[in-house]
Amino acid sequence: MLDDPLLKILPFAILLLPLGGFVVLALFGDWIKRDKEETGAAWLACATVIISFGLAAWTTVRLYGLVAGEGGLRFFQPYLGYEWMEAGGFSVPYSLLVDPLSCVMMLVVTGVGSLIHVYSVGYMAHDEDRVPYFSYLNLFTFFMLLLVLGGNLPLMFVGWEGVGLCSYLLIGFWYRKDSAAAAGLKAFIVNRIGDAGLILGMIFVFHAFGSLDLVDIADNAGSLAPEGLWEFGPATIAALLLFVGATGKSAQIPLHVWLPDAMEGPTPVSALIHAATMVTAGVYMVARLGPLYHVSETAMMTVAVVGAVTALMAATIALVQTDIKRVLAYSTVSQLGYMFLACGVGAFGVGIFHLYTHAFFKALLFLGSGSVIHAMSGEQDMQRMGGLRKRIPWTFWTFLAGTLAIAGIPFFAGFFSKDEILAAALGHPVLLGIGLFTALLTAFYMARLLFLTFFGDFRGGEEAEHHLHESPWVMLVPLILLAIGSAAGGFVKIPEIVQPVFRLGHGHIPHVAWLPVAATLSAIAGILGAYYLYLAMPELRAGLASTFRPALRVFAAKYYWDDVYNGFVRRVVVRGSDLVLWQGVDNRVVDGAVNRTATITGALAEMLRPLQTGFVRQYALLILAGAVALLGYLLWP
Amino acid sequence: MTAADYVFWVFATATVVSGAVVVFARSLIYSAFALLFTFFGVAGLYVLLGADFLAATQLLIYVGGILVLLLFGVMLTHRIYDLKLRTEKTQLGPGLIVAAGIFIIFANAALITEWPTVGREPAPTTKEIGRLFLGEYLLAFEAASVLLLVALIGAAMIVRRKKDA
Amino acid sequence: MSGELDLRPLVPAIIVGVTGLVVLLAQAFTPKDRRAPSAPLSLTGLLAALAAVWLLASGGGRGAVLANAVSADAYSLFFQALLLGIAAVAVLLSPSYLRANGLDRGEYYALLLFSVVGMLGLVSSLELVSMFVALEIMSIALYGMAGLYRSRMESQEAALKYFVTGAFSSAFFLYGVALLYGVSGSTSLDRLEWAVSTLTTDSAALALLGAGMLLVGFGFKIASVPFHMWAPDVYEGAPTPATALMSAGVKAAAFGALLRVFGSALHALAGEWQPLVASLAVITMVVGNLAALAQGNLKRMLAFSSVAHAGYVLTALVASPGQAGEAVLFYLVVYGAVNLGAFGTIAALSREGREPLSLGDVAGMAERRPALAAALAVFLVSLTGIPVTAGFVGKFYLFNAAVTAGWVGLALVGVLMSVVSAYYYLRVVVAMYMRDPLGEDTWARVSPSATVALALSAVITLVLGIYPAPVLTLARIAARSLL
Repeated sequence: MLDDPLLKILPFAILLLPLGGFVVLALFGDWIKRDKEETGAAWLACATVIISFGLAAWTTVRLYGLVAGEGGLRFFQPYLGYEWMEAGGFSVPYSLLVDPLSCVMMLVVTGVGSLIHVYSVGYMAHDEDRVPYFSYLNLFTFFMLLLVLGGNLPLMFVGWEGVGLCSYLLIGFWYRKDSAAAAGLKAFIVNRIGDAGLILGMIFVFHAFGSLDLVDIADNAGSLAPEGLWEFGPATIAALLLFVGATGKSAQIPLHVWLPDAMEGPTPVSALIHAATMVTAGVYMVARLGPLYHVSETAMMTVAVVGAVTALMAATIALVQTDIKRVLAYSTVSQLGYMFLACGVGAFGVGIFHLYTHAFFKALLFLGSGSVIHAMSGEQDMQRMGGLRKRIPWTFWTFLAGTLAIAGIPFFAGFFSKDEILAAALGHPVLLGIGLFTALLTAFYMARLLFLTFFGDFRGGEEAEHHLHESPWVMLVPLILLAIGSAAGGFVKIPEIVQPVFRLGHGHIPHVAWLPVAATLSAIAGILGAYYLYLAMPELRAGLASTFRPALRVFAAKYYWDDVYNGFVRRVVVRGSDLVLWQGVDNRVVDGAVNRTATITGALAEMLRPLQTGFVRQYALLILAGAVALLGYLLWP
Repeated sequence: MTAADYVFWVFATATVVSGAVVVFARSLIYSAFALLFTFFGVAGLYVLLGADFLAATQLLIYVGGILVLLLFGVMLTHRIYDLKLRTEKTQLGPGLIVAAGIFIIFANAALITEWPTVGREPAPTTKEIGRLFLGEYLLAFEAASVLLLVALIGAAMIVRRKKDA
Repeated sequence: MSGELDLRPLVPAIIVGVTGLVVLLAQAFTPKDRRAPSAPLSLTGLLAALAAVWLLASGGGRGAVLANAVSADAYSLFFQALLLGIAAVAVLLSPSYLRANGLDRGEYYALLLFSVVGMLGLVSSLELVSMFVALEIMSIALYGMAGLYRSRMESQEAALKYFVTGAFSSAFFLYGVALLYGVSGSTSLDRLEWAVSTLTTDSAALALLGAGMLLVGFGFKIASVPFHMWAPDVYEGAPTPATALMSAGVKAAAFGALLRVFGSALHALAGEWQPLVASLAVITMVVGNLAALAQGNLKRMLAFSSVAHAGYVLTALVASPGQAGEAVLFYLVVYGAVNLGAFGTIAALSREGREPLSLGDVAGMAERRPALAAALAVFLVSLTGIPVTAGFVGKFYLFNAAVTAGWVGLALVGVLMSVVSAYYYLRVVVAMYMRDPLGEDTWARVSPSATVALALSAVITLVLGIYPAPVLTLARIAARSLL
């Protein structure tokens, strides 16, 4: 670590620019809105993120000017000069961490973030609440950058909670729609469960390492004794608890239920938060703490299995969705599962690689779907689309690039990262099988989406057909840039760049020649399957549907997760507390007492009445009973 | 059993029985009169413990002052006098259980504790109490005056007529 | 018996008490058609007392005086400063509320000041009888304040319930004092500490019984389950600024005394009472949060939330006194600011006997009163314990203390219950930000003094969330003086 004055300042500037944008918009938003030039707020928000991106690129270049330290790692820890929390032997400074991993994340966040900000200028042009929208978007970017740049777990957690808050605000952005407000609340509640795990995990990490600094943790994790399968030492407990947090944020089983509902938010939000950046925070955290996870076989196995199962389950659900955004949402859940699978088999760099390629193609697909929805005047049901290829050609061609990338067609970005994941899973035949099969399903449902939307005849009626229009350039340029990224992004060797961060040696993954071939074949099989079922011979569909009816019913019901949770919440939590606390104690006591006292007026005699109602006696009896229990315990021999 | 023991049992029984009457009597006036015996009983117990000053104060203040005030209050307020109190035994079961629990705990504690016996002749405690009030417990003694003031203000405010509020 | 009388540790309490008398006199001598300057007088007195605390602290504090009954050690001074600050904010909230609801009487301020005298005494007493008298001064003043709202039956009922159950719990406290006197032959905490550390098995039962009785008494004041039943009724019925003072001040003062008695004097018995405190913490957190979940009334919800928070604070008591002290002291500061803010927001909008109490009442508040909605959102988010607000830092320290002491399960319950709490706190935020307003905005305009109070609470909540180091350092120094 060399002394580079610029590197001490740049990361803070990157962070604070979007925050500044938020503050300006929050304080002067009304004033900007009153101004006739109504896109001022939008462009201000874009500018902060684009400049941040420029600075992030500059930072990355400066970082690579540094001499690599032990293990080939270049890193830098800018420090603001203040402590956040401090207590005997425990300190949380305001410090950041700039290393290859945070550089990759920072570039993804600001890069994709810039494009989505620009896209939003067009997409939200007619929404009257644009100023709050862009201020939330800026605030989100700030918290996301804090999450990936934070030098210790608590700071990372601030970012983690902050992005959750913004996500909640943006999902519920169209709150006059009840479903949107409900989805926002659901996202927040589910994430709180994950966050509970994260806080506890943090406490355990502190007691295992005596520090919450990310560099300290990575450096010292190697000295912990390895913990085998079903061995619950400190590292395993900490890692598993932190993983609970990751499942919440990154929508993995069992906390994945919020993400599909989150599609109620504006589409650029889905692209930025629920595809490219925030939902990948869990993957980032697991990779960032890779050395810790590596100590525990149980934790690694859990991560891999949860990832693989989620990937498969979400892919099957995506097969039967008809809402274009929901297909993409389940696809995101599935791809995140892939990333965890990679981390779980020890290939953290590959997980990050897939995160990076996924950011391109999934953002592209979401923005493309936004463009489709824009063209369809808000319609999201694919059964009412069709034949859009001719009407919105730019959208179609860029969307095609994204589809090929996610399907894993050779030389598109997704091909490389998916191939690396499968190669890393070579030692685990079951996981590998799930991975390959999921790849086939992915190709199938994406091709289905493409065929239903862009091919065939238009099914939306004349009125809608009349309104079809290509999106403005401000929306198309980000699509084109992302399409280029989706096509060529795979050639950047991310795993090699970030590998030193994990302190696990060179991490080369042995490749076998048949694997890319098998992956490509399964992708092609998926696409061909969709081609026959949805374009060439749609009459086959009915027969297949009846054959697989029980399975399809499960897919359509999303494996009943929501029903089980709703049932649990309604039956146990709400009714339980209703029964015991509201009606049993509260309602009866309060209403009873109030009603009775309400009929009484003045004078000492009547003032004694509340005593006679028995409620005060109940209180006293409870105090006495509590005292008996308490004293009884103390004196128990 | 010595004579002192007999006296103790007499006073203790009087205290407990009259206490029960206070709680269970259907008329406030009975309760108030029963309270008289409770106070007497307690004063007697104080005497047995050699707390002469406390016993005298108990009689002077509680019996001579508070109780008389209470009786006047009850008698002069005809509506209270007529009021039939609902001393329903709604929570008798749980109440008994809890009371039994308290009794067992205290009896148990009293039995297993080895009580130190002070071999001291009964002596007037007045001087000692005075010394403590102006010495070791000066703060508590003085602060009690604030307590009384606060109680006065609070009481005055609560019984103030509504239109002033 | 000789020796000079050193009253310096009592100066803050004396200033506040004298101010109380001045307020009463001012009320009596103000002509009927004029308004007595009760609030400015009270505020001046509280600030003067705060200055006295500052002078005492910069003079290095004072040892025990008056036959070891009271001291101005760092611990007392920390709490005194906190309590005076809480009271000052409560006074700022009061005038507009009282005027808007036709309750403007000097006695209110006098009682408020006297209750503060009690709180100040409670946290600085080193001797159980003084502590008890202080506890009663505080409580009796609060009983009066709870019943101030003559025209509302809830208020009358609250005062009476609070009084009866409070007297009941005081009896426990006093019995505990008597039993501990039986153990140590003294009511001084020093002597008690010594006596407890040299206990024989014969006298242990007595000491434990005494400790348990004290715990019941304190448990009532901090509103820990199962001694909490009064809290929702009283918080709902009392005038809202008084509720703010009760929830922030009483809890702080009672925890201050509780920690002093149990963390230092009775620490030799920690092995016995810690499991008990842990179970109290668990049931308090669980019952408080679940009950809050079921509340439709904002004040009752906050009351149960205050019960739940007593549980969170109790979790830290299982740690070593130093660590517990630091966590608890810091949390009480946070909790004071946040609760003053939350109840203060309700009080600031109150008019003619009406308060915004339902979700419908606050719906769309972000549109009509953006600043007020933002402030209330900050308070609720802080109560939930989300970072960048002080609540997160505070809870982190509490649970960290429990885990360090090996009580992982306890911290787990705390964290899980915080998750549950998100639901009922954020329901209010959702209503404010994501619902359209119902009906006309007929709430009071927020007065300048209430604005100052709320802004102060919000700023403290945020600053302590971002830069808590100075207060944490003070809390650590204060907690250390307990050892």
